[in-house]
Amino acid sequence: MLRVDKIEVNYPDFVGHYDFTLARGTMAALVGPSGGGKTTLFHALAGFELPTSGTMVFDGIDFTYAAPAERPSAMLFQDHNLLPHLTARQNVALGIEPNLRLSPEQWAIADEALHRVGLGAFGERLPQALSGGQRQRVAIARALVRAKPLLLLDEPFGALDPGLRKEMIALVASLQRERGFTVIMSLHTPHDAIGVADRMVFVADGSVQMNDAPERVLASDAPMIRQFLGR
Amino acid sequence: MRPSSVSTSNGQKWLGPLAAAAIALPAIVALGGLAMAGEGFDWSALAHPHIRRVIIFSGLQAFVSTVLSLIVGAALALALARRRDFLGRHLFLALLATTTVLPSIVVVFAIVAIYGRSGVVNEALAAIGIEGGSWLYGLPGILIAHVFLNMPFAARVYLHALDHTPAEHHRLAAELGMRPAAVFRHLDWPRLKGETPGLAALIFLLCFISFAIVLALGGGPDRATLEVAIYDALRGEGDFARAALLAFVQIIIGLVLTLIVVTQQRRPDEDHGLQQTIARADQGSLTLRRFDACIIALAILFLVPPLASLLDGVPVLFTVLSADMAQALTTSLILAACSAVLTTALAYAMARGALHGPRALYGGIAYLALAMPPFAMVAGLYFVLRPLADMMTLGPPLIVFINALMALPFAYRLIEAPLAIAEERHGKLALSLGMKAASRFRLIEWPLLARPLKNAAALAAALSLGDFGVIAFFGGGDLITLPLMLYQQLGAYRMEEAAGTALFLAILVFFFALGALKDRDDAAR
Amino acid sequence: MLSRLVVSAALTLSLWAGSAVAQDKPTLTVYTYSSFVGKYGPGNAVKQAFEAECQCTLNYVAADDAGSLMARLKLEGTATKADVVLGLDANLAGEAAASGLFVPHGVDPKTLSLPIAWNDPVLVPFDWGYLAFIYDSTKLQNVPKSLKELVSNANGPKIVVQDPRTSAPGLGFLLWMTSVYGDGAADAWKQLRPRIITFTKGWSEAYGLFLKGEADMVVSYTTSPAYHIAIEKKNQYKAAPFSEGHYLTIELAGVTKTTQQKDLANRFIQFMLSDAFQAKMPEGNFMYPARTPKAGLPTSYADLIKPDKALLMPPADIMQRRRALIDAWLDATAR
Repeated sequence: MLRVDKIEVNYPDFVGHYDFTLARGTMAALVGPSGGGKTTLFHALAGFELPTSGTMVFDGIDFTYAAPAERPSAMLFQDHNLLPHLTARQNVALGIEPNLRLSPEQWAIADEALHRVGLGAFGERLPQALSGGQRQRVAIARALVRAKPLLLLDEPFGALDPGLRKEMIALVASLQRERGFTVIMSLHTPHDAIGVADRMVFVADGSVQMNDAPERVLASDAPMIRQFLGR
Repeated sequence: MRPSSVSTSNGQKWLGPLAAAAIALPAIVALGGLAMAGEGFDWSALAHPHIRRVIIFSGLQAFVSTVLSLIVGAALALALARRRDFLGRHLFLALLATTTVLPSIVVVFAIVAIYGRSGVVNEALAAIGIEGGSWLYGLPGILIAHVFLNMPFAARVYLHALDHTPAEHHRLAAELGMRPAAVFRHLDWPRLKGETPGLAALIFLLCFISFAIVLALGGGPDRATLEVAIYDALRGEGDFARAALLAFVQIIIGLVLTLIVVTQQRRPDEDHGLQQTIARADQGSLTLRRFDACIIALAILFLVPPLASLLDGVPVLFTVLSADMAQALTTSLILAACSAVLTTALAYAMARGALHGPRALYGGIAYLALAMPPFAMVAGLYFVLRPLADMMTLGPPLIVFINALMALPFAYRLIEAPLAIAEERHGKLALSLGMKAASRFRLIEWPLLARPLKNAAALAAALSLGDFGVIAFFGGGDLITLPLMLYQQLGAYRMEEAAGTALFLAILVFFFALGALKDRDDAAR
Repeated sequence: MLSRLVVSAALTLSLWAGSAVAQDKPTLTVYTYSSFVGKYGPGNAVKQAFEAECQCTLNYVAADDAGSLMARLKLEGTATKADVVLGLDANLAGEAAASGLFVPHGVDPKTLSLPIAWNDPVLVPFDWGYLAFIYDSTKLQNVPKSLKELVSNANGPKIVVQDPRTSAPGLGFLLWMTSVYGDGAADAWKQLRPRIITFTKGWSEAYGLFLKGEADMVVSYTTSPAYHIAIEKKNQYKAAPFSEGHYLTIELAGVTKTTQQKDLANRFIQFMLSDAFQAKMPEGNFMYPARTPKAGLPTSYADLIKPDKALLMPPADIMQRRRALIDAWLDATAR
């Protein structure tokens, strides 16, 4: 279980307060207006910003102040997930050994992950020779080999067209079922979550306003949510 | 049939070729003019072994100067990228900008004050009973002066590149638990490598055509450059055929270098338009912290004492602030502003040309500007333009033009990548909306180009401020710039007043750079 | 800020275009070198004095130095706008004569106060000086008494000289060595070489290095101490008298063949040799006047050394041999 217990994150012009829990193996969709504090929450979870108070615990282990690499999480950014001078295969391999000195068995694991995201034949390509969707698949493959139980995805498919976006979300969902990850994925289009996510976490004004089943959040009469959805 | 008025790329196709012609044509005309004045090329100039020795020696000193400048510059840039909050970081960065623009004679005196026969180092050695002597004169002096001039420039260019690493890459490195060596290998090295071919070519060429420094600190006539031989041929005996040939040889060498750069250099793969203060993945390492402290301390130790020797001018600083000085300052600032505008305009036009035309050709022309021997160019252009206009009238535009050419390679490098990114992201959009050039520039390119354009303009202005003006060679009107005033003072025994003028020039550039740094920080906030 | 710059740029441009507009008074265009007209040179005072008596406008065009002046003239040829050229030197006189760009000056050479006879028909001297090694008498004890002593004493003073390819005194020193040693000059250079700290681009670098203590002696003029006496009130800088004699620098002027202001130009040459002009040479250019003014020389010149013998190679020889002499020097000093 992930428990975020009253953490506070301070920026010069923004303060975030977060308090929520998610059961292990949950697929959670994070939604809310832009500038509402979604990315700040991700940065706190991944360790790029340290909270000034509160605790974050995953499966009983407190990781509030752990180094980014020591956390239970792996994160996917909107963009710039791949190092441009490394091939797709090398970018995946970074997740196993950042100095890129891998044994043949480890290379096999990287290849297998690429295969799993449907890029088995693209291993030797540089990121610039891949499409936007393919690049994000490579990043997902790297998250797979890192085998962290908590997967954080910050609007990873925002730049993709709707068909491809649905396809990528479905890929994440199937990997989540297969490996039992806990996933938090922020989505630009809340309706993409229906039929895929177990929970929907609504963040606005720097805090979690609602944490419930997607259908219920989307049907909520709370003014903030109505305004967000344009109802 | 496809109507010719329909364009599939954004318009103003004439812009790039026009700028390229504006750069290449004067070079060809100048060389042709010189050959005409001399009625041909004098091939016998190559027969004397001295010319071969000079080419070999200038190649050697330029190569070593370049390698040293790049290695030390890269180490310093890495240290500065990792240490973002040490006391006086801004002042230090502004000092880095100051060395680049000092007139060469000031650099000679500054280096001599520290490392010379009666410099600070020898005095210290004498105090402990070691005779220092004049070890400076020869390769050591040339290398020290060239590294002093160019290493800070390399450090600034490298730092700029390192600071533009996407923040995500450092977050990723932190997440993957990369050790400092891996951060260097995967994040920093590719960035440094991307800048190196262009930077190396520029520094090499600057050292290769270096003149007063090489003669003053070189110690012997063989420690010279082709530029000295060209000057000799033009001035000493008005042997234009010889000058034309030597200029031609120098241009060929520049051309070869340019070709190497153009084939080696790739555009930065990704870039962030907005510079953020990025949290680097390797900031915490204790070993690195010590290493960086050492590097920064050594750089301060190397750069600050010669600069501090300029403080000799303090007692006369206020006595040199005369009406003549104000006049010279105004002239210098106007020329610098014109040169900044011309440089950025040329670089922008060339970069637009490169979007739709032969990229290598545009890049080559932008760099080639540095290989043109200034004295030969002025003489050749003068010979050709003489019937059309008076030198009094031609002087100022020629100063601006030649200064702009010197800054062009730097400006082009700064502008090309962001313009290509703007085009990739929004070029199609601009086309589909039928945007005119002006609104495309304002709405699409300006947001990404504002900072690089300002950087390029500042650099061009600073280079122009420090330029002695080869134009003075022939008499280019009554324009007295600050460096020219400095030379007049030196030529009239006024060493103290010259020290005051040098200090004034350095202070001017220092605060100029400091202001630019502050603006940048304010913008990033 | 930017708009203000643009406005002032436009103003400068218009001023400078305006200055080219023809005026009622005749204009005399004088080509010279920049330090003559610079803030510290005598140019401005000369202009005012001449304009006061000639009812004309004197217009200077300044090139970098004597060498650039000659190069510019050669490029312009008969299309030159110069009426008078002021500031060539004796080393360039051969070339100037060969260019055929000057007309005879008609000045009687006997009226000049030069240490040698000057018979060039087209170029007339306006000032002159002896080359000399300058030293700081508070620092240097065993001052060489001759060029040969300087050259042969392996433990002698360290010197800084100018590169003869880029500097007039540098070329002067090369000719001095040639005058004294003749065919043995190459060996003399080899002997002297270890004590030459460096060959600088110009006089300024060399003199600056000397003042900063980099060398014990520097090639300059016997008149250099006068500057330190007159302006800085310092007596320690001295010129070393050499028994073989000192090489001369003679600065020259001439009237161009193509001038449209022949009378005015000749009048300027006469003015140039008058007291009004000549009196400004000793402490304006720090050179001896070509015709000593009635008031004599300033007091700062009283203690200057007076060489017994002046050396000068014939201009035609210099023109013919310059390249060969420089090549020989390059070979002798190369390491």
